[in-house]
Amino acid sequence: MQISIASGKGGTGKTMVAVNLAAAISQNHLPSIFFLDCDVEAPNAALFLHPHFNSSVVVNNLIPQIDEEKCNLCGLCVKNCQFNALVAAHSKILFFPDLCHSCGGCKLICPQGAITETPSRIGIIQSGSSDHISFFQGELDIGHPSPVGVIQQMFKLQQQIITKQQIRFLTLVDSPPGVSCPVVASAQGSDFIILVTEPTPFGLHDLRLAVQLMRDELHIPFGVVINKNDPQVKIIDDYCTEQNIPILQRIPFSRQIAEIYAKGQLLIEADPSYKSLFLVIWQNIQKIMDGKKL
Amino acid sequence: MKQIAILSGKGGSGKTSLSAALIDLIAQEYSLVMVDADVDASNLDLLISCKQQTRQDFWGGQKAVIDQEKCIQCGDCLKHCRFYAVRKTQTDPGSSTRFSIDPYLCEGCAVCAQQCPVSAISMHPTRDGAWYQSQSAYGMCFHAHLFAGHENSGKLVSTIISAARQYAQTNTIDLTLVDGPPGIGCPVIAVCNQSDLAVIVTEPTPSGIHDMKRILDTTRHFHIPAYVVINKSDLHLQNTEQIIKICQRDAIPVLGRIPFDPQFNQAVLHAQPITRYAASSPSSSAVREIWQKLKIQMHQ
Repeated sequence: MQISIASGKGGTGKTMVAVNLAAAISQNHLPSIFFLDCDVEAPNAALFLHPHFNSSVVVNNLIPQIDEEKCNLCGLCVKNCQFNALVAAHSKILFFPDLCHSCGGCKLICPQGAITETPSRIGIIQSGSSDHISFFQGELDIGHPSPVGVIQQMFKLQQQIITKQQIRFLTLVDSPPGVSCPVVASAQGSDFIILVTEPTPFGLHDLRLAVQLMRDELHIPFGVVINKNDPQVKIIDDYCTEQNIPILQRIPFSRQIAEIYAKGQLLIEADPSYKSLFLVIWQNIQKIMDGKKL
Repeated sequence: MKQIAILSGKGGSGKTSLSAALIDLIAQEYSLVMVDADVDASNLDLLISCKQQTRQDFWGGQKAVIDQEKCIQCGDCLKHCRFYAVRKTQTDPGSSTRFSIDPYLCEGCAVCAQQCPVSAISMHPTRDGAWYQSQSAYGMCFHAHLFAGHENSGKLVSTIISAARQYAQTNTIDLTLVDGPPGIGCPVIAVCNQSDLAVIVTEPTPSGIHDMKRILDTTRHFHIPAYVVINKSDLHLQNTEQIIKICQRDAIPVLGRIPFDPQFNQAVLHAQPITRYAASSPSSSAVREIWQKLKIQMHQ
């Protein structure tokens, strides 16, 4: 089973929920866990799970290299590039790597065979383990625009390991914020999505967008965790009741929790009484997947 | 005209709350336009109550569509697509295979259309969102909404920033303030491309520090002078000290510290900038001090 932890708004507590959930489940010797930190622009889960990394893989994009001897400046590659990454100048074709999507179209279309492809680094994936958790972290290089390639490569690496081991496991995916392509890349293929939100107008506004994505576009079952919950403020509760969305858990608004997080500690380790709070999320997801009502 | 970007790396560190408070203070001295560049999840208009004046569709990219009548099931499209967007399905064994495009994975590169031997694939422009010009009490605000699951957020950000700059030029506006998106990827790069200086909002947590370093590397990469604001600064004093040390080492001025203040959250609940909702709160005085220092930097 694969569960992605997402939100529309950033900073609602995705990583906090993901790392504590992973630790709580693994301490209870439930299924073995894969943890994928797919927030490759700002990966933070390792700061809390402290994995021991023992392997790293560089992620490359293929970019065109034009052999000026062979190129006769016909301009077909320029005309066909949908991303304006190639521009015809007087005596050569100019290439703008930031605009290239690595589709390989220019190489295929060049009648002179003047274009070859060469790898260009966009990021790195590190993997290792933290207690009983197999941990993967992607990191996008500074200045590179698109995280999607790194995210997809991470799932491929995990797939290779799974095929080798054939074990019963649970994959937890810490997604990036937002509702666009990097989130789709992290959520697609998941069996369930945990949407983490907070009871503010920002939280509600962005939760609606995330619900739209999961329910109307990707068609993946999901539930909500209300973080920084204030029992006086019911805007998320009311929305979820109206939309018939299950609430998996409420985590109280507390300076103590914020301080534990600021120290870089796991909530369930700083105060073991929080452990059951996270295990309830896992139990509720299992109930929903079994077709039961919460 | 100067353009100030509010960025953070980490989401939820207080970009929008700080933006709204700065907007309130700036508008008392200068004319300004505002841009909400978090097109995935735009929230600025919730704090500065905007009245929409114009709405325009955003046509960001294109998607491939296979004409099933013309398709000869050769599989060339599947072979050449690098984005796993071509799906091969077979309803039951023995029946014919069907090739189709997953619109969420299609990048719009048109390689499949170019390679298809029977021209069965065509490219169709996609409406990926909408953008708005709205009037607020503080000035004109440009904001946008990228449809859930759609692409080209960087292009949408560039579109609204260009529209804002054009408006600012025509109306001789002093300042453009951009409330940025989280992360360091394409929409952030689109903001960096056109900004004169960046205010980085961070918090004294391991994630806040880690992501501040990444966004500072990014602003350095694009040669944009950066300034740091530490939000929730009293949450963990050692981490706050560490942030100050990093900034000293890298010669990044720290403009100020905003204390952990429940009023900050209350201001959001009451849909107001903190400087309006609780003008005498410690966090409001902190933001006023930040603005005074930013003003000096701006004129240098």
